[in-house]
Amino acid sequence: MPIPSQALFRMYGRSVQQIVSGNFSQSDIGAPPPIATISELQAYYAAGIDNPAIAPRLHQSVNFGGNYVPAAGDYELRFTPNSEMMFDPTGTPVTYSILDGGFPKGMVANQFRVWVNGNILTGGRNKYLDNYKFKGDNNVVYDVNPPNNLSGDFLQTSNEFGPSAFSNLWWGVHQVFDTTMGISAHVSTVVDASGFTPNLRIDEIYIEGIYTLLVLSVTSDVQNAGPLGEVVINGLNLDFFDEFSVNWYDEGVTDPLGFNTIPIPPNNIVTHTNVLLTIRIPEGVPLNVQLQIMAVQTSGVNFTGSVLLTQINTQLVDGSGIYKLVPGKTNDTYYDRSVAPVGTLDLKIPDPFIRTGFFKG
Amino acid sequence: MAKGGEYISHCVSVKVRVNGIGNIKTALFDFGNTNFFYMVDLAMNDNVTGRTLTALSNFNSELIQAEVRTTAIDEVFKLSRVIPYVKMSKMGYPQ
Repeated sequence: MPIPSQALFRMYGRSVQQIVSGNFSQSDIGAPPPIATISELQAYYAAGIDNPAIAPRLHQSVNFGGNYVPAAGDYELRFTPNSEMMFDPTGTPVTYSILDGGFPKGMVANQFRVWVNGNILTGGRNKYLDNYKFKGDNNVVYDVNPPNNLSGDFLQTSNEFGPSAFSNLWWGVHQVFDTTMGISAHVSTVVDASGFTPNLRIDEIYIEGIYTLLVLSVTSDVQNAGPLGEVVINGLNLDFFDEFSVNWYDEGVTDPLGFNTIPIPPNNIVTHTNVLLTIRIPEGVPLNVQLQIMAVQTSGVNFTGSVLLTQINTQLVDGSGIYKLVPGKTNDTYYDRSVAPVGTLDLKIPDPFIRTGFFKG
Repeated sequence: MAKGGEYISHCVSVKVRVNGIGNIKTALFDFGNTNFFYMVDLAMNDNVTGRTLTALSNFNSELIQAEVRTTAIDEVFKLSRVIPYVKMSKMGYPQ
């Protein structure tokens, strides 16, 4: 009769318990998350919703071949800044009026800064992410001049395990309010046969706008009646200005060579309230010319608004999702973009096995 | 029965106390994985008898190692005991 021999277990590789208790599987399975424009984000912000389940609109999606193997590519997050949102937290544009004319909106030296804090999450598979960078030198994306901190790419070597974090500061001088700007992320991946790909997440986008109202000017219809003539300006927020000058062109000349300007000394300011400004034309101003009164705010006023555009989670189109343990789940799940709408594909995990120790009769 | 000798053992079957889903594949290896013996797959799903699954084998070696494995998706197993049936058969290889 054979003699049964009790063998000792010796585990190789994964333990059985690890295999059967749960595996890494995706939690963000399904269609890409809903997307929102910045204006929608503003609405969320205005409504006091701190963490809406939306993600900004990705400008570019990436086409990739194969079933579930994503491709490396450039990803762009574009948005159009709203000047009122960025630079005027109250949302009320500053306007001025004078006589029968009106102060145009002043020349604004506006600047903005964009902070972007985020994470590269690769589900512990960062070794497949060779590098990532945020590019600020893309003229298509950025309309900034000069790109002070935008020279070069922000590059961080990936880590072997765990999420990597990046933090970068962009600073640009933006000359046009409503020009599209944005963020460009280039994610370069080394995709193995299983199709692991990193997942990019942008946690926060801070936009801080600082603008200084430098100068306002108006061309009035006032004809200078004489050295002692006065110009009465009715307007709003006139306290804002502290220096004034009177300008005119020589008769029949409209080019800059014929431009003349004389500062108005304080003694010539008869009345200066928030809504009324009466200026006595100083000597030297010829008669019967059309005057241009220029009001200047010398020290400048900074309208600083720091607006947190709430938390934004950017789910790349080809992101592989965030992994978590799911009890009882015995396979991995990947996006399958070979079908429409986007489906999922279950893949098996490596074969679980055990081997006993050596035995003999 | 001699103990500790470098004799040849003969394994005729392996009992595996296993629960799970799918087919479990069992195999025997010698020291160094040079020689091996694959046994018939055992269906864990069909084990409605409640008896321990037994795989027959015919394998001779000085040292024997048993392997239990699944290879298909969603196959899982929980293995609690492996009982090999082994007996000394030869004192050595023929000279």
